[in-house]
Order: sequence, then C-alpha cells, then structure tokens
Amino acid sequence: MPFAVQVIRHWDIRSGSERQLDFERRTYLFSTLLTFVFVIQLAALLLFVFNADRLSAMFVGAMCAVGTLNVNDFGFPSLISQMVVFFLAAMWLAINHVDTRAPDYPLVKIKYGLLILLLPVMALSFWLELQYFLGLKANVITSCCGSLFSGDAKTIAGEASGMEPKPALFLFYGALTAVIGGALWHWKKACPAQWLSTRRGQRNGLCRGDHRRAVLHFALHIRAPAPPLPLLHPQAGIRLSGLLALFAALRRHRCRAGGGRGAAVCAGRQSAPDHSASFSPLGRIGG
Amino acid sequence: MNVWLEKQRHLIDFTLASLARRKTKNLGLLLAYAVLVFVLASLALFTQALRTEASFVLAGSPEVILQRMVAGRHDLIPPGYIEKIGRIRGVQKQEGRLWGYYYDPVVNANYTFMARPADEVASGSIMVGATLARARGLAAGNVISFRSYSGKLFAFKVSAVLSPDAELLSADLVLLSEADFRAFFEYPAGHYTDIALSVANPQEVRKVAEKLSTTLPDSRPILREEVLRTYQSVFDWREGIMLTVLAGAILAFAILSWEKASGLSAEEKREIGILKAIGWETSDVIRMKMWEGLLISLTAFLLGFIAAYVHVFYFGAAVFEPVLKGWAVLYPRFALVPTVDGLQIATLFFFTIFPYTAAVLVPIWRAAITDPDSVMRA
Amino acid sequence: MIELSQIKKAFNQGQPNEYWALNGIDLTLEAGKVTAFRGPSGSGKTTLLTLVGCLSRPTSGRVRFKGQDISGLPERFLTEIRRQSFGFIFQQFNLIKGLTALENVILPGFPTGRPRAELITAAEEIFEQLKLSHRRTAKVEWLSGGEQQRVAIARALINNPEVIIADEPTANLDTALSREFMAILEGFTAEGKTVLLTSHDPLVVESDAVHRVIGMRMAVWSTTKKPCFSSQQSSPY
Ligand SMILES: Nc1ncnc2c1ncn2[C@@H]1O[C@H](COP(=O)(O)OP(=O)(O)OP(=O)(O)O)[C@@H](O)[C@H]1O
Ligand SMILES: [Mg+2]
Repeated sequence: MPFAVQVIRHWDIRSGSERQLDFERRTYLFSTLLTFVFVIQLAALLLFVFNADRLSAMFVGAMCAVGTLNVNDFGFPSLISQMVVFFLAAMWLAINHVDTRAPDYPLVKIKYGLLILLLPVMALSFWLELQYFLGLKANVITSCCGSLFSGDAKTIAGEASGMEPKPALFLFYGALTAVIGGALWHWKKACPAQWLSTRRGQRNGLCRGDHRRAVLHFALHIRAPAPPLPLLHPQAGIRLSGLLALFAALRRHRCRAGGGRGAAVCAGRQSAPDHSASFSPLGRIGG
Repeated sequence: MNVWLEKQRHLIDFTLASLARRKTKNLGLLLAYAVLVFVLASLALFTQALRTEASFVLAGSPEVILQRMVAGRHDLIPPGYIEKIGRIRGVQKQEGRLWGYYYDPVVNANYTFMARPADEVASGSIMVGATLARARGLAAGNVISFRSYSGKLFAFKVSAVLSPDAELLSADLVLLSEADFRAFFEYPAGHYTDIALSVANPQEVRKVAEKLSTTLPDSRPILREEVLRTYQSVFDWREGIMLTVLAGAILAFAILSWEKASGLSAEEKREIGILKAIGWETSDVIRMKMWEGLLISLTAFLLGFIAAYVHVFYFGAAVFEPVLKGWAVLYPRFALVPTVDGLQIATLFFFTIFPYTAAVLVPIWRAAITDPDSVMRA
Repeated sequence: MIELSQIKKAFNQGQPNEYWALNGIDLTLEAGKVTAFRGPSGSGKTTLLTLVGCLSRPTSGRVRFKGQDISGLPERFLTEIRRQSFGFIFQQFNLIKGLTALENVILPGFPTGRPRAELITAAEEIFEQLKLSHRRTAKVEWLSGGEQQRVAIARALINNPEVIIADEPTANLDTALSREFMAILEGFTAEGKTVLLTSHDPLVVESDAVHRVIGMRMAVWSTTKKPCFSSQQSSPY
C-alpha cells in the first residue's frame, strides 16, 4: 500500500534511477500476484458455490447452495465480495496488459490507484469468508429453500441475477470509463501537439502514437471478450461467472429426489437398510 | 497465438531440462509434496466413501422413526400406541420395530439384536453381520448360543451371514424372529422399541413429523434426513480433527517450499542472470518458473492422488482406519466402493496447489528481476 | 548507428556509497565497424557496454539506437531490442552447465517463439561456420576453453543480431585462440555486423580487425582515433 502511494507520487519513466527501476520491477510482482489472485479467485468462487451446494445436506432446510449461504449473515456478502475481487483483479490485469504495451506505461497511476482500492476489498473479502466459515455450524436451522422458492416467479434466482452482479458490473464499467478517460487525458497532456493536430510530433521518440495505441488497445479489450469476461451483456457475464453454477445448482437441487438412486441400490442389500435407520449404529459410529 | 504456444513449449522444455539437472533437490520436494497430497487425498476419499456408503444404506430406511419419550428418555411403545397415530396423509406404511443391544462377554462387544418378520428369519435361526461372524468364527449352518440377560441360555442356528457390502453398518447385527426376540429379552408382549413410518414424498416428511408431534405429544419423530445429516457431520467432525493435525503438515510444507524457492542456489541465480542477458524478459523467467512449479505440483498431485486411491480402495485405508472408525471391538473390515468425486478432487487440488504457489510467488519474482547486466560483472 | 549524449551512470544513487561510473559521455558509433574500448580497470568500459547493449539504463543522458531513443525505455522493451539487435559474448562465456552446446546456443531464441526445428537448423549452420559441428551434442562443461568460446559466439549469433558486444572476449584465451577469435570478428564485419568490444589485450586492440579504439579514463573519457595509438595500422580514420 505505501508502495503504491510512492509509485503514484514518484513515478518518472524518464529516469534511469534505481528507484524507478525498482518501481518498474515491482509491477511484475503485482501482475504476477494479481494473476494468481485472479485465477485463485475464479477457482475459489466455483468451488465455494459448488461446495456450498454440496454442504447443504448438513443444514436443516438447506437443500441447495442458497440455503447453505443463508446459514449465517456472511454467506452472501462473502460471495459478492469474492465476485468483486474477481472483477477488480480482472480489471487490473487488463489495465496492466494494456499499460505495458506502451513504452511509457501511460496508465501506471491508475493502475496503482486501483491497487490501493483492491487491497482493502481483498482484505474485506477474506474477512467475510473467514467469518462465514467460522460461523458454519451444522444443524443450524436456516431459512428453508422452500420459503425462498415459494410463491410467485420472483425467486431468489431471479432476484440475484437481476441484482447481485450489478454492483460488480457497475464497478467494472465505471472503472473502465475512468481508465479510458485517464488515458485520454494523459495522452492529451503528454502530446498536446498531437492531440490538436494530426502532425506527427517529433519532440521525442516516445510520444509517437503510443498513447493512441494504448487507448486503442483498451478499446479492443472492451470489444473483444477475451481477457476479463464477456461482460458486455450482463447475462453473458453472469453466466460465465460462478453465479451460473449457483443457479444451475439451485434449479437442479430445488427438491432433492428422495433416495431415488440409493433406494435402487439398497434394494439389493436385503437386511442392512432397516437396521441402519435405527438409532443404534448412529450411537456407535458417532460415539 | 502460435508464437505464444511455441514460446510456452520452449519454456517447458527448458524447465524440464533444468528440473532434471537438479534431480535430488526436486525429487525431495516432489516426494514431500506427494506425501502431503497422499495423506489429504486418502482422508478425503475415505470419508467420501464412508459418506456414500452411509447414504446408500440410509436411502432404503424409513423416512420417519417415532420414539416414545417418558421423562425425557426413550421408552417402549405401549400396545395401542400405533393405532393412535391413525391415518396421516402421505404415510404409506407404519410398523412397530423391535431391537436392542446385547453384550457378549466372549468378545467383549455389544451386538445389535433386531427382530425381523417370520418370512425373513425363521424361528430358532439368526442372521449375523459379517464382522460378528468373523469375530465368533461363524458360518451359515453353525449353531451359537447366547446367555440372555435373565440368565437363560438360547441356542440359534446361523441361517446366513449378512452381505459384507455395507459392513460398516451391519458389523454387529444379529437378526432374529420376533418370537425369539421377545423370548430372549423377555420383551413385554405388544410393546415395540419404536415405530417406522414410510413417507413417499420427501417434501411431506416435515409435515408428517409435525402432525405426529401434535397427535402424540410424548413422541419424538426422527427424520431420516436428520440421521443422514448427523452421519455427514460425524464423518466431517472426524475429518476435521485429522485436518487440524494436517494443517501443521501443510504449514511445514509451505515453509519447505519457501525455503526451496527462496534459497535459490548461486548457480541458479547465475543461470537466470545469463538468460536475462541473452534476451529473456522478466516475465519469461517468471513464466518459466511458474511452469516449473506447475509441473512439480501436478506431478506430485497425480502421484499422491493415485497412491491415495490405491491406499483407500485396495488397502482399505490401512493408515487411517483406527482413527476414523473408532476403536470398536467389532472392527468392520470392508471394501469401500470406489467413488471419485470431481468436486472433491478440484477442492483438494485447490488446497494443495494454493499454498505452494503462494509460497513460491515472491521468491520467483525476486529471482526473475535479477539485473540483466549482473553476468557482465562476474 | 549508436549515439550517446551526455551519458551518466551512477550506482547506488542517493546512498552514501554513491558512485558515478560514467560522467557525461558523448559518442557516436558507426555501423559495420569493429570498435574497441580500452582503459584502466574501473574506468567504466563494461558499464558503457551494458548501456549500449540495452542491459541497463543510464541515470541521465540519451542513448539512441538507429535513431530511436532507448534510454527511457522500460526493461520489457529494452529486452526486446536487445534480443533482436544485440548478441553478447561474455568474458566468462556464461554458458549454462548441464545443457549441451546446441541447447545453449538456441536459448536466446526461446522468447522469440521461433519453432524449435528452425532454431536447431540455424544453430547447426552457425556451428558449421565455426567448425564446431562435431561437438554440438556435448555438454558444455566438457568443452575446452576455445570450444566454449565458440559456443558462446554461436549463441550470440542465433537471433542474427546487427551488433555483437564482447566484454573482454579473449581474457580466458591463449594467443592462438585470441587470433582465431579476431579472424572470426573479421568475418562479422564482412557480413556487415557492428562489433563493440573491450579489451586489455594489445593483440586485440592493435589487430587489423579493429577499426577504432576508444580510450577510457576514470570517470572522464577521451576518444582517440586509431592512428594516435599505433601508426602501423591502417584505419579509415
Ligand atoms: N552494480 C554496481 N554497484 C556498484 N558499483 C559498481 C557496479 N557495477 C560497477 N560498479 C563500479 O563502476 C566502476 C566501473 O565498472 P566497470 O565494470 O564498468 O569497469 P571496467 O572498465 O569494465 O573495468 P575492468 O577493466 O576491470 O573490467 C567500477 O569502479 C565498479 O566498481
Ligand atoms: Mg569490465
């Protein structure tokens, strides 16, 4: 964090000083770390949702991931904060990618500004997750899926797909706008001649079209769904994010088919089933 | 894209060569890593198999079991009690069950005696669980006698040994006819241990349970769902203890890998310097090192997981059995049905790769930012 | 081809042990020539080569390579230029032990993403030129000094650079091998490559292959055209 502030204050690409070199090298560290965070967060999000679904058997009334997440107050905030971290990390990586295309790193201040923003969000996300898992106690009666799904078409699934990713999307697009604006502004400031006229500025070798290239690159990023997520259509974005998993799971597990597979298998095992429903084996295994 | 692929191929080539050049160091790491994965994977596979087993077994059991409570304690079902339930919508069948415990001084173990309808177990004969049969050296056709709690001796003919498929749960089971059960335990006529109700629609189970507790306020309905949940948490609880122990191991491993990665030998440092001087970029070096980490962790994961699979499903989890199954006298020996769960593998993979990668990230970066001109001043 | 203006280079800037290795150098180096730097130890020859060869950045001043200002470029871009345009031959050869000669030679080609087969063909051609084909599958630690030197040269050539930079290339070689090296250098000029080298060795500095010698002094510098050093040598200057 103090490092990010230092970068923002002292960054000077023209300097060959050791501090500048150190700044530039730290960028590699952060991009590696954030790639890691990004990948981990993606994996964690998917695992979180799927495991929540699986864990639902542990909680009365929780028949699916929603139930598990509702076990305590930290379930959904934790999920949402994880998604926010994921999007922010994706955004940072996209900015970094674009930034390092141009030799004068035009977006560097924005990049480190975002990093300053990202750190507390990550800390918060971690804290929420920890709270959630520490608060998970089996057999706590949760608001049952039945009540969540009951009634009209406005199920939690509908609600969530309408609501939850919105802040994330908003954040993402907002930051994109800020970034592009910043880049344009920087470009304007650095190469006024070029900004005002089409004449090739020849003041120095660096100014030539590099900013324009950076911005173009950014635009390409927004057009092409490749690096972060296809976020242009909220639906597509949601589908790709871990939420898809959640909702698919919700629909599938809406009601757990009672013993369908198990019963078939157990029919072949003559005597054991009857016995096992009694309390005795429980006492033995549990004790 | 093609260039990118080709580049990654080159990096992997180089990584493989450099791993091979530092065999002992990397093999040591690989081994430690694989052992960690082995332990965790064995545990996960084992508990998963137990859970599957339990839910298989429970799937065929009645949805609701009704016990009668007297002074807060589980008591016998008196005659006429079943009739009091009457007809509840959704309940397909309701029947009284008879079961109890018997302490066998010969092997110092408790058996579960359970009455079955006469068409399943003939009077004078019993069926026994496989573990019990092993402990007492029984086979179908043998005769065994038990001294009842009242001191009388009863002789039974073993008509069959129960299938070992679900031996975990049928280990100590003795099935006998209702008449024999009542005679053996001097069980009062017309009384039952509990009542089993089958409910076809799982969504009605809770409703049924509610109705039961209103019609019979002195009863306690136990839902299969709850039993299942208890099983799940029982296994998870045990898993939890093991995991706590293993957390220490994970930590040790993280430190180890940190050591390995941060303690880059002078030789390795020089190599990275050379690579940078001859035109490798910092991110190329980072990527190369990442490939190295990935190769090591994938190999270790694969090795550890396969070993764990063999250990659990072919050697019956020999290492964990005592801890996980408890120190029961009648110790069930059973082959677990191999079940592999994708989500579980993914989770395990995540939790083993994560600490390693996190531990090596910074050292990798530190190695990668070696001054490219450092080789000029050797 | 390469222009340096007001180049200064400090080590440990801002710390008590701050040291200015170069203090305001102006210099122009022509393409297609062999230029040798000489001067007392510590006069900054190696430092200058690292600046020219995109291995490090000057603290202040400009380096222009083929008209492009490279002094302010981040490492990422310097590396790209270095990879494409510069080949390095180090005093210690700096080969990677445990790899064969061929594997060592193709290493600089990895980040370019050229297919392996292509790299190997290119490497074998160079081995052919350097008369080293018979040793190409030998591990480098088993090679003799001269052979190692030639492997290092081959490695410098694999990306077909325009400029070859050699820091004390003959310091570990005997007279015969040094002469051989100078012969190889002449081959480079024939191909139109630019060569920059440092040396204490009179055999190198005074050889016919060298077109220009630049003398360095401690933290100050002087450039001298060849005839001032030795009159017997022909020089374009
Ligand atoms: N990384 C560094 N940190 C501090 N000082 C350095 C560093 N690199 C070089 N120097 C100093 O800079 C000065 C110039 O070094 P350089 O290696 O360029 O000299 P040189 O002319 O090549 O000498 P030699 O002929 O002995 O090779 C030396 O005094 C050296 O101690
Ligand atoms: Mg030197």
